[in-house]
Amino acid sequence: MKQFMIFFFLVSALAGHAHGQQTITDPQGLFEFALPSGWVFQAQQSSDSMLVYMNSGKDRVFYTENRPSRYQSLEEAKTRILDVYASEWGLKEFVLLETEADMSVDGQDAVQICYQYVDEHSYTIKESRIIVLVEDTLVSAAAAAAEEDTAPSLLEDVLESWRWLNNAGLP
Amino acid sequence: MRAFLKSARMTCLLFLVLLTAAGSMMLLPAEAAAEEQDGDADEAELDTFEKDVGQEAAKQILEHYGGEYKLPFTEQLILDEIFDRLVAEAERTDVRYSLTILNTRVANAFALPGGFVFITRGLLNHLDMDEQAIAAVLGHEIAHVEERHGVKALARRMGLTILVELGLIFFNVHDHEAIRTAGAAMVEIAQSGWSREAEYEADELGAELAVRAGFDPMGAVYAIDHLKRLDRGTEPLAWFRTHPSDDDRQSRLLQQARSHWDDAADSEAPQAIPQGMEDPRDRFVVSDDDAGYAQIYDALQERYREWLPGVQLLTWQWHPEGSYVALAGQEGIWLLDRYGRGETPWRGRSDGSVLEIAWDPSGQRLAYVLQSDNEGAHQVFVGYLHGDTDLLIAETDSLQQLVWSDQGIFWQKDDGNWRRAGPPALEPVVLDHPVPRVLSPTAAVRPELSVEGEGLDRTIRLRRPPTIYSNDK
Repeated sequence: MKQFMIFFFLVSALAGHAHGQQTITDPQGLFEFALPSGWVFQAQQSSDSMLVYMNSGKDRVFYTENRPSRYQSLEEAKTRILDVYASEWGLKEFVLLETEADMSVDGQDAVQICYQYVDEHSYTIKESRIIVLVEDTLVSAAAAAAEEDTAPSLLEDVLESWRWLNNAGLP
Repeated sequence: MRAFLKSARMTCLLFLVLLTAAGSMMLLPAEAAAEEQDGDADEAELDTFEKDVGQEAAKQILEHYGGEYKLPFTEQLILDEIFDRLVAEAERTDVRYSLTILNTRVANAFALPGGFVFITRGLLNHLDMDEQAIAAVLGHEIAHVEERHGVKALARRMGLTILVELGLIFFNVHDHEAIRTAGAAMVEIAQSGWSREAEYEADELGAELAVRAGFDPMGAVYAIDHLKRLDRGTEPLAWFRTHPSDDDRQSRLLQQARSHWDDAADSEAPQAIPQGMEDPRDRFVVSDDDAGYAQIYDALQERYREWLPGVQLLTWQWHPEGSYVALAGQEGIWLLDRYGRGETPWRGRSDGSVLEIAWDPSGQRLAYVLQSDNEGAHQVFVGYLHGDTDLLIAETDSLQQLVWSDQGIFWQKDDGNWRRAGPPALEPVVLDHPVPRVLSPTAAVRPELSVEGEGLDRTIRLRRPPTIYSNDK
């Protein structure tokens, strides 16, 4: 099954590449999405539960992460995540820019949060993140950029192509 | 005034008696009731004293070690989860435990009266966020507080006379100078370590706390292994200077860990037998040639690979996820990653032949059966992948097959019957309410540049950053 997923993932990525964009399939089989060309898969930082892409030559990163969770609601997840990010051991100089609760990603309820923080190299990073609960899994996708405001539009583009797969157990 | 001081002296002595006496005093009922009432008051005063001294010492420790260190938040959540689970098993309700990470590369951990537990960044780094080892270290430190080792050591260090002076605080005369003096003495004690007896006591209770909190009692043995290895390097390991690290301590911990396993008993056959001799990812085929040497075929590249040349294979087992393959030869067990890397044996066992190997379902431990050269009994050992010391869990006169399933370790004897030994139940650290990691884009595209020397001797090094995470690994 795992081999099949990796194969499917590679084939999907290569097939999409021919049309100037890459179709990325989550190795856990929950979702797929398209990224414009120019985004490079970061194998070293990625795993079955995390996919990381960098935009070559630019300080931008797009990544997804699946984590098992027992959140009862999106609101609970959002509150907890923001609390931790803003806590003393969270993100440095964290500022919440915007939250959007009433949205959906391919028919599934989602929450979007936009925030900025200062990273260890003293760059101000703007990050846009969506959070979705798929049964007992917290799915999150984030786009981040340094010193520019491109993260929200990149995330929007990606979300337009986002599709939940059958394995996600969605209706 | 003289009467007052005499009273204070008596009270202090009473405290010391209370502290050191293991059994209860034989008193008449009326006296016992009065004594109990006094005892409750004394206990409360002692708690305040402990807390005040601990707080003062904590302040000094923080200053001494360069303040508090902030972990990336996912790691902090894991650490909190481990600590909270241990604290939930502690019995002292008068103590409010807190955990602080100190910003120093010196590897150390200590606890102060009043529940102030410290672990250094250096020690966490050495333990590599291993939850069993961390639980063992924190459990050990909590046990020092549970057993009031701080106050007892303070009494010994400062002597009765000074304690009598400090006894003034028991009468709500808050003498800040006295607390500061006691705090400074406490810092010294915490840094130089408790008595050997106190350390053994903390080992024992710490391991019990860890087990009750769902961690492996072998975590303590493993933590010592881990640090012993690092002690051979150049890193400062204060934890060793302040904790007895001899074999006796490890053998006590091993005995204690063994007591948490079910004794071997006759059993039904295991419900499922893993096919561990086949690569779960279907790429490599391990076999032995006619002479018994390892033969590895790479089905993806359609060629043979040379792993462990010159080693005659006795048996092998793939990690449940295919990350490693454990191969047993005449001289021990090798642990190779799935690309064949790992030149030194995981266990050198020249004292016998390793007949069988089995991975635990989580892939963190290996069980193996050793038959000594003189046709002695078959011994079943269990060891952690990154530990050096193994636990002997059973001995058997014959063995055909070894299996580790969710129900425990099973072995089949020559007569076909199965026996089973069960490990203590472990509860993995799962963050019920996880927080997604945050990756910084800048770290990935800016390699670290270092320049050494000058002029023509100048060397410029460009190093890939170890991680792209700004706040997580």
